[in-house]
Amino acid sequence: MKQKTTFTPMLTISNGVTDVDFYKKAFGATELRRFSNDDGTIHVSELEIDGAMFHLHEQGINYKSSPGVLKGTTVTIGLFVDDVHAVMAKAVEAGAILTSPVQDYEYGYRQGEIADPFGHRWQIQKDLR
Amino acid sequence: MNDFKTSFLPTLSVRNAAAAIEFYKKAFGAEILMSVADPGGAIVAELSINGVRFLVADESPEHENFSPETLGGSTIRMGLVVPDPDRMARQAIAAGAAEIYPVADQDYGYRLGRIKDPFGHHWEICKKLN
Repeated sequence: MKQKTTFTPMLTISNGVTDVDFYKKAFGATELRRFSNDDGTIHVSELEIDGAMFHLHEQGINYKSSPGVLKGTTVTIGLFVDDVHAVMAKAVEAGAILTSPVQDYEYGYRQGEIADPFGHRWQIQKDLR
Repeated sequence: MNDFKTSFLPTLSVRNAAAAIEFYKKAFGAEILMSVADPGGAIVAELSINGVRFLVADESPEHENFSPETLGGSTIRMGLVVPDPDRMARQAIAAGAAEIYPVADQDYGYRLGRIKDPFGHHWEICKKLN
């Protein structure tokens, strides 16, 4: 089978996280696999949103690089969805912070942006062209 | 029927987008789909690696878009699933990426290696093992 090229972003989270239901509630994500530490906290969680896979990975003990520690993010995850308004509303209801409300831009995208409860930034969008 | 497909379009903030774009071309065979510069010279470009798209942008701390160099680390690693991770990782290292660990079969079901690009972004280059 020919392997198709895809991105699987890996989002760094704090140590000690046990609850990642935000992604299920906000984006309808399904958790495929979870690798837990002995104390039950998440080491890696493998999730997918309608076939698009991504991972959450706890930050290293000696190399702390979650958005909370670094005080910012170096990558924004664009997520193409069918209904931008609906996904944005669900994300905010699930605990995201609205950073840029939904708007149609002249370059042909409908976009809104949120910060999730772990500090990662998502641009929810649809190509209107 | 609704044939809409959910997909990611990551935006990588960097300190020198022009140089980063050249690196991604050599490292990953990326093609430039679009590139715009604002009057101050800040670049936003859309690139494609075998058809998957991502954006590279000069950082703009006023919009909370920070490069890994500015923050001293990266908050997201780029998983890149490709047909031949060994070849892609070699090509990226030849283009100037640093190897964090070599491509090898991992017990979680992937053949995967990790590199850090010259702009501070980490990439996990992989394919699923059968």
